[in-house]
Parts: sequence; C-alpha cells; structure tokens
Amino acid sequence: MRLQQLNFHSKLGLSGLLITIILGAMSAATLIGLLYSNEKHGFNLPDISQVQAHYSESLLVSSMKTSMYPYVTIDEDIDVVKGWIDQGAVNNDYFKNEVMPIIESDCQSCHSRRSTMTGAIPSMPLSHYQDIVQYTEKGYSWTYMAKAAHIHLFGIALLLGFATLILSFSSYRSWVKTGLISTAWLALWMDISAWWLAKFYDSFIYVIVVAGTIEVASLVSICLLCLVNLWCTLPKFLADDETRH
Amino acid sequence: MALSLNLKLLPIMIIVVSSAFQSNLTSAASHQLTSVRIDQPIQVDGMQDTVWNTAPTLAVKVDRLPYKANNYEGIKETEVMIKSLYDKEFVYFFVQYQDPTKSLMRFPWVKQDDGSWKMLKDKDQTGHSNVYYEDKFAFFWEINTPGFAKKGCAISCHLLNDSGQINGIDQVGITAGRKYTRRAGQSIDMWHWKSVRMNPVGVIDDQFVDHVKDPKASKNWGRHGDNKTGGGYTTNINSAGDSPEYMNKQRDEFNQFTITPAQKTPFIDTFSAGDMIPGIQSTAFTGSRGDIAATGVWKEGVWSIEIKRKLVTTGKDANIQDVQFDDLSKSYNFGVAVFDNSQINHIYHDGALTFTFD
Repeated sequence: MRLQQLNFHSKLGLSGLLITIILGAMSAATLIGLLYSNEKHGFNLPDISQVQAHYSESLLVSSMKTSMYPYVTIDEDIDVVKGWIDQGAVNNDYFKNEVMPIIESDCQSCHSRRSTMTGAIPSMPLSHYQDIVQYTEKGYSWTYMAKAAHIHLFGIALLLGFATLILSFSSYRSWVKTGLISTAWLALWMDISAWWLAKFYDSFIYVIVVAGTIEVASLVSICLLCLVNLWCTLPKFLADDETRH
Repeated sequence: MALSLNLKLLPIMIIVVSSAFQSNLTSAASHQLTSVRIDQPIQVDGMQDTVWNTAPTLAVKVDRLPYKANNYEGIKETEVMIKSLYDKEFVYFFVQYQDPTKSLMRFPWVKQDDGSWKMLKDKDQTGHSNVYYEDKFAFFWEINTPGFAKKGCAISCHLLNDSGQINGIDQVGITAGRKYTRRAGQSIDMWHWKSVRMNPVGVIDDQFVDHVKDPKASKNWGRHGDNKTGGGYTTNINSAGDSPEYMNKQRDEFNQFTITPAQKTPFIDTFSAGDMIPGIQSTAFTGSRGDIAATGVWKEGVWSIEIKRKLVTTGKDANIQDVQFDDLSKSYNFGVAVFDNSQINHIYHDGALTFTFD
C-alpha cells in the first residue's frame, strides 16, 4: 500500500493528523523559546545559560533565572541564593539574614499558604526553611526527572510512531526514509539521556539543545514529506524506483 | 519534476494553518506612554478637550488583586486609558477607565430613627473598608528603586507571610500588606487621587514610599505623605464623638460627601432620619503634598481624571519624594492602580510601564 493510493477521505484524515503534529511541534518550540529567553520581552531564541540553569541548577535557582525571572528584583539576588545552595543549603545565619529576605521580597507574595492575591500558588509555599530546602537539589530531582522523562518518552514515542509509520508507506527513496526515521529516534534518546547526564556534566547541555532541535526538525520534516506525498507528485530524485517507473 | 497539488485540499489547509498562526503571531501590547509637546495651556477640569486628540493612548489592563477581601464587591478588572501632554513647565495626564459605580459614600454620618447619628463603617478581614469608602486611582513612579523596571508596583508590596507577619511583626487583622523599599535611599513617588477627600478641592494626595519597615518609626511603614505646609483631611466628628462637628451650607450631590472650606459651617441638627452628613472634612494640601492639580469626573460609568504637575518640582526633599522629569530624553518607569470603593484593595497590572517625551 502507498500513500498516494489512499482514497480522498483517508488522505484528509491523515493530513489532519500530520498538520496537528506540525503545529504541536511549533508550539513546543515556541514554549521552549519563551521559557529559556533572556530578560528581553517576548520571544527570543533560547539562551544557553537559561537552558543550563534549567537542567543543572537547583529548581529554586533555575526558576529564578527562567520562568520567575520577572519577579526577581536584581540579578545579585540569584547569586546570593545560588551561593547558599552551593554551600550546602543549611539553615544558618546566612540563610536567615541574606537568603530569606530575598525569598520574602521576591517569592512569598504568591508562594504562601495564606496568600489570596491573584495568581497565588498556596500549594507551593516558600515560607520556611523546610519549604525552601526541597527545591535546592542540583538539577532535576531524581523523582522529577523520572516523571518528566517517562512522560516525554511515551508521548513523543507515540507521535514518532505514527509519523514514521506513515512515512514508511510513502514513495520516497529508501535512504530518505531510513535516514529520517533513524535520526528522529536517536535524537529522542540522546535528548532524554542528556537530561540525566547534564546533572553531572554541564557539557551535556549542548547535547540537549542539539538533539532537541534535531528531534523537532526530524518530526516536522517527516510530517511535511508525508503531506507532500499524499497530495503531490514527487520529484524524481526523491521518488523510489517503483514510483519512477 | 513538476509538483501537482490536489487543489481540493488547498482551502482547508490555508484555513487550518492560518488560524493556528493567528494567535501566535499577535504582537505584544505596547507598555509605553509617550507625552506630546503642546504650546497652549490646559484647563484641568476632567474634560477631554480637543488638544488631547494629539496624544497617543496607552491602554493598560488592570486585573490583579493583592488579596481577596471578604466584603469586596468592586470591579476585578478594567482597562485604564492614559494620555499625556507637556509644555515647557508642566506635564499633563488624562486618565479614563470604566467603573460602573460612582462610590463617594466614605464613612458618612446618617441620622437614625431615634434621632442619634451613626457613622457608617465596615471592615474586611484586614480591618479595611470596601463598602463605605471612595473610588481612588494611583500612579506609582520609580525614583531610584532597582527592580521597579521588572516588577512594577510589586517591588514595594509586602504581604503577610504564613505566620501573619511582615518583617517579623504581627499584622493579622491590621492590614493585608505594607509598602516599603528594600534599602535606605530607595524611594518611589505615589500620586494618590481620592475622589472624596481631595477631588472636591482639586489636588492629588502626593505621597512617596521609602525603606521604613518599622511601625515604631512610622505608623504607615514606608508610605508617607510628601512635605506639606497646610491642608489635609480629618474626620468630621465632635468632641463627644457621637455626631458631626460641621456640615456644608449647601446640600447637593457635590457637597454631600466631604466638608470643604467654602461650604463649612457648624453642625446644627435640623435633619430627618436617613439624612446624611459627610464624615470627612477636606482642605487642599499645600506644599509638596499638594503640588499636583487634578480633577476627576464620573459620567456614564467612566471616570475621567485630568492631572497637571510641574515637570520638575523643588523644595526640601523634592528629589526623594517626587519623580523629576528633568531629562526629556529619558524613559521613566511607572505603574497604575484602580481602587473601586476600597480602602487598600486595588486592581493593578504586572510589571512596569514606561513613560517618554516625544
């Protein structure tokens, strides 16, 4: 069976799925751009230091550098909190006199059990040492990592499974299909593996960026090629022998 | 090697793709207000004269509340439209926002059936009023407070923690939050327009916020009135504390809610049950605290407030208490807030707005 041989409504249904995956991938790329942008307003290309903070810093510091950055009074506040965590995040005078005032000023209006302000997150209080210290583990916590990794692996595997299966019924040359399918799966495994390894070696941040980019590019390419094959006649240099003849 | 497209699908693809992109590509709203140079003077009367047509409008959505008051029934969001003009000496602002209720009944005296007088008051869980109060509007201008450009008004806002304390001091039932800056030398200019206490006398209550976070040093912590040489507002109550001390000569809508100098006369009780006397008496501030002229007019569900201040103010502590528009090439950070019949609860916006001169 070939994609071009499908009836009109099968092509329409598959096209809907493929376009949705493309839009989803673009939305994910937009989200990454927004989460890891620097201090400029709006969408920017991800800043490597922001990505690094997300994967190899504590959740507290990485939040102050990324999603919570608009609420941080001055950049030096992040250095104070990071320095305290690097020194073991103990409940000492430095925590009380230097770190806690920053948390009170920048975080507690929302992150308090009794806050009722618009957008408050009383379920994630940062009111006491015991509340705060649980967000000081460097990199993703093992629990959070396992949770995020299995959701990503299962979710993206389903998308890739559908996309690569559709591509396998296309009329492209074998090397095109083999190359794209292999690249997409390898990029996924490298991306998720690097999440874990970045906890120990900062250089794996670059693997995350490169593998993640290839992963999204492969998925979008597969979907676009399938759409072309569904509705258009392939150029000869891309079509397999059966199609050309 | 020509590509042959099945044209039956083309319209569907265009609709799907274009609709998906439409929301993503909408540009971020501008946060900049630009003041336009004029030559003729402006009359500050709360009316939008034709000269205002030359000024661009900044629209700011205010939809965030610092706390949920247990008796607050005011608006929870509105859009504030701001314009600005300036001449060689003054800067002017024209502010408009929708507020369906004109709230002026601030702690009024009401005569009871038994002939006694009662001052109507209410308190929410923080000890503040949201029923018998007044509409207010505020500008918040950065003077020299790091972080204001990112956090806006929130830079000086400190709410109660889990223990009900602010800076280690118990505040349960006393307030929802306190305003103060982080360090000595940091201050913020606050223009507090008050529809009952100051609007009838034509000025804004010009205040500022500094680093004080100890009620022993200052009752209102970091929030202070600018230096004044006279004027102000006090409760209209007699020495026995059971009835008004003064009343206005005329009893009309304008003179029903505060005692003003031109109308002030000793209270003589010839009233009937249900009649109302203002619970406050106001005189225009003089000195730095009263150096901003303003007139607000409420009409058909919209407050229009016209404001005028010198570009540069002078006097003792002017640089600590007032933002100085002394460099017309510079950007100034500010925020706005709307108080709908509420003493401290207000709707505000995240982040800071910027103000420039053309």
